[in-house]
Amino acid sequence: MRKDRPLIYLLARNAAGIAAAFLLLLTALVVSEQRRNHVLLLEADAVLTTMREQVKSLPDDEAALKVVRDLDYLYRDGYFSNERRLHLGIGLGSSALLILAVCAVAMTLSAPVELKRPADDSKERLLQLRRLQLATAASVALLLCLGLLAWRATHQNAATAVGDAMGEVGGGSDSGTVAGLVASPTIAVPAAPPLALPAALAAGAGHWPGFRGSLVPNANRLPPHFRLQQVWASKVPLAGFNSPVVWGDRIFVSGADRRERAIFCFSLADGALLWRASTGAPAVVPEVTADTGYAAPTMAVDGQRAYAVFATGQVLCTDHEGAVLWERSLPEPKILYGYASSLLLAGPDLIVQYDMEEEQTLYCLDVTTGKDRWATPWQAASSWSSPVLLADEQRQVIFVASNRKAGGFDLASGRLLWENPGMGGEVACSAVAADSTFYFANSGALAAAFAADSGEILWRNDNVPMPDVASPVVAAGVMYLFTSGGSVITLDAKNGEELYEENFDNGFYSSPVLVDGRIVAVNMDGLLLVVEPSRDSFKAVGRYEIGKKVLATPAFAQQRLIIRSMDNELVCLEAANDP
Amino acid sequence: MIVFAQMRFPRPDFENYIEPAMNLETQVADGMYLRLAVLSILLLFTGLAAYRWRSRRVLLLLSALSLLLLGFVFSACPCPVGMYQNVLAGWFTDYPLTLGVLLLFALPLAVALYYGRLFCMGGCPLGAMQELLHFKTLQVPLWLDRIGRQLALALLLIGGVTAASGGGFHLCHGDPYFVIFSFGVSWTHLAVAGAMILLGVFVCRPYCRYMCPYGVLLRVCALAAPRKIAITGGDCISCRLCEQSCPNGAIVAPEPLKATESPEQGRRRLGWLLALAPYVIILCAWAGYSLAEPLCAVHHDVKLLQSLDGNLRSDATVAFASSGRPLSELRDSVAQQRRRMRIGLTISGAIVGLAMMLELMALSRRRSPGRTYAVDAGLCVACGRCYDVCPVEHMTVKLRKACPPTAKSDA
Repeated sequence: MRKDRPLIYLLARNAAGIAAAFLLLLTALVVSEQRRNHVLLLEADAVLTTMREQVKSLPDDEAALKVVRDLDYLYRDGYFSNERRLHLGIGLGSSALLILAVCAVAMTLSAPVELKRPADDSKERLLQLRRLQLATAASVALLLCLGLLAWRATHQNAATAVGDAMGEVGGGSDSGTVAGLVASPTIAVPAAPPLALPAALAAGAGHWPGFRGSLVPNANRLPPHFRLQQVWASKVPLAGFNSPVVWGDRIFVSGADRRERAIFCFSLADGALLWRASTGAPAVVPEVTADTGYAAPTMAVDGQRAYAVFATGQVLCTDHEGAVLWERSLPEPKILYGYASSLLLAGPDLIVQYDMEEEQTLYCLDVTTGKDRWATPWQAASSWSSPVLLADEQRQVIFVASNRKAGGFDLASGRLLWENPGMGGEVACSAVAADSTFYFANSGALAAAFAADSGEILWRNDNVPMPDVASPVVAAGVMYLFTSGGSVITLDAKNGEELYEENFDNGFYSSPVLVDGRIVAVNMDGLLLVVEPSRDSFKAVGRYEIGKKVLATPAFAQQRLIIRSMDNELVCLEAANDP
Repeated sequence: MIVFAQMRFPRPDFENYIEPAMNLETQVADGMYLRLAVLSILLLFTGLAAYRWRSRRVLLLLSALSLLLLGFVFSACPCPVGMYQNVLAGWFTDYPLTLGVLLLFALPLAVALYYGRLFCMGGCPLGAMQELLHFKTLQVPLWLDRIGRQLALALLLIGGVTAASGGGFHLCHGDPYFVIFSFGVSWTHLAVAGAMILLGVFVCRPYCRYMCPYGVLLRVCALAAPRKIAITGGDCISCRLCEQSCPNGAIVAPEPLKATESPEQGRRRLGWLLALAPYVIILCAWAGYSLAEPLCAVHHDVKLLQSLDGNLRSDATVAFASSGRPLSELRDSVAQQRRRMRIGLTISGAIVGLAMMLELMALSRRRSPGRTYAVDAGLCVACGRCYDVCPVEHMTVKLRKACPPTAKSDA
């Protein structure tokens, strides 16, 4: 039969053979070259990346910059040359394929038909059927094995995750009881709708729902004469400079390090750790200083939810049992020292002051979902201060202070109502709201009273020592400034005139709080003062040595003072009646 | 990677510059309709060549033409092979499905519903590549061929479920020939393409038979077609010369006069198969359900959430952090995708189990003895090889040439 093959068939066959051989050789060459170049390019990329990072610390070194630029050029040149060669290789290969295809067509069209005599096996079909049965059984078995492996892997991963979470219970209370469960599953727990603002503020008055307490006068009572005695002390598993918040019989604090950010819930009765709930991993872990840490902002809590924000920009919301309700990542935080603005809870709205070095935004998040209700950017500067709300029948204004200016925002719409420049330094103190006025003082900026509606400065006093961390407090018409130098300055809240000064050995970082008409302040040495507001002189009606260094602001609820010490311990003092 | 674009700078203000009007949608639409037109013409001529002219040469030329036009000129993408993913994504998610894509997907199926799998020979550049580069046929044993075809069904179902749950079009990544048509720059794909072509030299159409998801749909449609390719233009004389001519195993030999097993044995086997079928279906459904979790990893959102929970930094996690999208929203999206994958793959597993049992039952079924040679419409790709070996076909052609139906005088 082969003698009968026409010439065109033979020519096409030979051409096809050459094309096929060329194609095989070309494919082998291209694949081996690309494999080699791929490895080389990866190595070069790694070296270049390292050099780029190193040269960032030498911005003025032109020689180093030139080396990096030259290397970068060589890398790019090599990369694109490789791409061009690959394109050429594929182009040549495709051409050879086309020739091969044309030859194949020619061969098929010119070749005589080859007839094949079938095998004479009448039982072939039965044999094939039996083999198909075996093959089907083997396929089903293979599918089941794959399914079993997948099922085991899935369940092992789930068990490992829970085990890791359970295994990280640490730092139990001194009382030895760790009720703690950890890592609540991320389940959206249905909750009742949040209260409107007036009802929420009223409800919060009986607790300690945020930084420096409730937005309306706190309803917790302090006996006229009392003595403080320590009830319990519990270690918080992760460090943080945020102050405790309290709702009912639960204390909430947050803690974080580079690896983990979590909310911790302690029992007010005995300090037992009830649960902890962690965030997911952030995309970026920024660098922070040791005296700010990753959990400087104080939490907020209402009757259903607890909220925390961390230096990674993550906002976490849980219910009171530790179930994560939602989590939100704000844009990458870029601020010197680390993010420190505490949360402001205003009924159904969670206010987050996010003033970074390059962008400044005031966020209003829906407490049920974490989504933006509004987000107002403004042209200010960095800030470590926290927003303050003045809410009455006429207005709901949020006061925000930053390094360059102060601003007033409308709570309902987020609109920037007014701005007032004149700030300066590094603003870490927060204002206090009273009598339709915001009172503010920060070292390097000013001590002033701002009209809530217009931002007009009603008075200012630049001639007194001012705090740089502790926020002021206003009581009985007197503005108290507790400074980090140890001075307590009092100003007339109406006109800003200095009234008197008291000095202590050590300074105040912790912000004073108003409890039942009296001021409670703690200095860095752990000296707790209870001060009766007065225009005439400094009247400390109570002193207590906590015995630990304190930077965070105390919380007060149900006749108990909760203080977070610098060594990350929660100390609970009971204000027992002392007739 | 999710990218959020933002106009940060005003357009440059050049003097006397007129910004050209760009109508990208029209350009894309025109390309699609041109592709449709070319495909329609090719299918038309393939039908004529398969049914009227009965010429393997013409079919081969049409195949070469489809390789050139639809393969290299139009770079084979988009092509009907993977387009069912677009259709499913458009149906179950908010993926925008255009009319052109829908027509391109439906046209070969519509033709197959009446005329069989003409697309495989005259409209598919992948099939053409394999057809033209097949030189030496090694017959795949029947049992291996039937089991191998279940792989195509599995790929169809997995690709479909993934697309319908918003996981993207991953089946296209598995197309070994795409790197050739698109002059791609992936050397790994090139190596796979080379291996596939080499395999195709000896095994006819390996991708079409064992990996092509669209072929499964075409097979189902072709089974319902009223018109079927006939091996012979006249009456079959059972000379058996065509038995080994089809490299695709599409020729069905008649039952031997003397049965190789007793009817009772056959009935018993069929009974066993029927009894086992529900268990096989349930087990395969469970296997599909179990495989859903690892297969979820192809979803972008699932991978992103795993990176976030695993504290891994990547471009995607950085982009997510900057987007301001709530994590709870991501978790909800992932939960929904997982749910869809579980349901879809459970059903897919059951379908694969059912298909395997039906294949077994079909082979177990004994037809009436003495039937002539016929073509399995679901497997026949209209290559025309059987025309050349059939002596009755040759006689019929000679007779037609000698005595044409209408006499024409040639000058």
